[in-house]
Amino acid sequence: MPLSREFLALLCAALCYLGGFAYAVHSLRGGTYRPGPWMLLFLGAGGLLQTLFLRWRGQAIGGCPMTTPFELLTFISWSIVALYFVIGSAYRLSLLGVFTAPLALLFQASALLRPEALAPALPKSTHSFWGELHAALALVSYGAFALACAAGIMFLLQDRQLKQHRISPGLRQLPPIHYLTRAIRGLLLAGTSLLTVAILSAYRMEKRPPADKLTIVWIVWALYVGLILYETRRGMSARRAAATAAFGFLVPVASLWFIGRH
Amino acid sequence: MLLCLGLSYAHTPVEVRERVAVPASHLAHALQALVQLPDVDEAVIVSTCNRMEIYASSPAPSAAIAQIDSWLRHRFDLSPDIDFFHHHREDAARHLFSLASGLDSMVLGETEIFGQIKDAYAAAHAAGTTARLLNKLFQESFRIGKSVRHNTQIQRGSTSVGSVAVELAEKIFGDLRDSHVMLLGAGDMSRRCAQSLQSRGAKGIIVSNRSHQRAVELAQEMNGRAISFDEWPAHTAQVDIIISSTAAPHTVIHPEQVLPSLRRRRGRPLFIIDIAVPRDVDPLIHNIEGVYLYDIDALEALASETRQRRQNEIARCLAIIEEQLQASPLFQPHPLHHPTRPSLPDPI
Repeated sequence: MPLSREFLALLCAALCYLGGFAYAVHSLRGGTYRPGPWMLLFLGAGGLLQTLFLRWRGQAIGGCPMTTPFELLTFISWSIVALYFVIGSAYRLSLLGVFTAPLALLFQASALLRPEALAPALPKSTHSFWGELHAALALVSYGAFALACAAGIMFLLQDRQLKQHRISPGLRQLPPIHYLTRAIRGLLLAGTSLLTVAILSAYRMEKRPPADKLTIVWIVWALYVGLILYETRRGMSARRAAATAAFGFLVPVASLWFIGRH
Repeated sequence: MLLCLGLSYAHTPVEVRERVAVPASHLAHALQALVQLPDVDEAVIVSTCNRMEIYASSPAPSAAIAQIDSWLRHRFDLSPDIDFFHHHREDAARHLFSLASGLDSMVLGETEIFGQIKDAYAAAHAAGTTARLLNKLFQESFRIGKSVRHNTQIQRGSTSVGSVAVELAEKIFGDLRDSHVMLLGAGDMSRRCAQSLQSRGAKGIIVSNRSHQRAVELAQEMNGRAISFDEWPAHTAQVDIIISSTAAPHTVIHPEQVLPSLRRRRGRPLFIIDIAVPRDVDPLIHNIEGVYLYDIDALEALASETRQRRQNEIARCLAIIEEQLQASPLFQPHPLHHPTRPSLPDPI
């Protein structure tokens, strides 16, 4: 069976992210990585191809293309890259691309490996504005949590080296840990705010999502709200906040797996 | 044909180097004198505190070298036992490319020499003592110098205790313009370290010393403010970097003095530089989350590691230079001679 143009576009996007990741790893190992046009090119091209896919699929479906796990995972991958372009410049974290590329690749490759990836799009019989808003915002918020996870990993790597009185050539070029702390806070706040609106949107839907799905999303929401409140009220250390952002991302990932199964 | 002749810190003591140094105000005159020599067509003088080198083009390089050698000895009244190194053709170009890449510097990989070569070339160009060969040679040296520095780690990292401290501060805080510094002790080392941080934008210098008068003097010098020595623990919540170098025979900064301020710091890290011997800071402070303590040994170890890493990069740098040299149009089948003079047989 010939591959559809949608599948090919996503395959090329995944290759772009793979290229960006390989370029960053190779450069970091040689100690010569400088955030610059190559990473922007890899991520920009990948993001553009995914945007094309979302447009084609959206036209075919007649709504937001988030009807299958394949589309959901693709949308998250696209959100991560879109947020990178916003957050990367806002927080002077252009090196975030080193971690954005593998994350985007992970989600995109997982999507392409789904059995329904090769199936044609099925037009939606019904449209729900609140339903589409709920799904889109929830997935973009997951993208923000993914980037917070990447920033958290960068923080932990550097904190460990600074505590060991070492600076390896590769890590020498990572963003300053204070910028990472601010980025993690900003990303968690942005992600949680988006998720709050997404959950509220679900309650405006005519046909509300199943209770178990909503419970899962509430658990994710509670995790991040708890983290923000604890950090604000009790003054959590930057290291603990980074560790929670990094390892806490396993909860949204698990929730996706659960939602995908049902 | 290209040639170079000169002396450097590697084989010549400073007493000689200071005699042959050519100040910028005398460069044009010296360059004109060089191109007046019978076999010298073009000339560039690179004169720094560590070297004095003359690059020239000549149809008869051996004769030109003898003339330049004689001119130097006469002009600077040098004794015959002082030797100049000299190179021809590719060897002279290779030497300049290594120089521009920082491989021949006292501090391996330092960047200042690149600017000094640029200035030397600009001065010669302005004096009208460069033409086709030296113009091409120096343009090539700038391109290759940049390529070596970009593609290797020869200029990465910091090689002195002061610069390591600044690099670490930037690794932790990024832009130091938002960082506040507190000096405990008013010694010379802490002053120099604080000045390095200040030169990168650090502000709000607070000085605390057992002798308050000395603290006031240093604070005035650094546009900061002095506080009494009893007051410093109360300021730990507001500062980002503490540089300690008191003469106390025991530790003066303990975890219980830092811990109360951590909550008010709201996750902002604290960088403590202990350059006192015996140490001023209880090492247990390093175990506190968000606090990074570096003593003199830790800073020196990082500087030494960088110096070693730069040494290890020399082979890669030389390989890049060699590759670029082979590809350079300067030494292709038709070697560049001065366009206005015919090539004469070399007398030696």
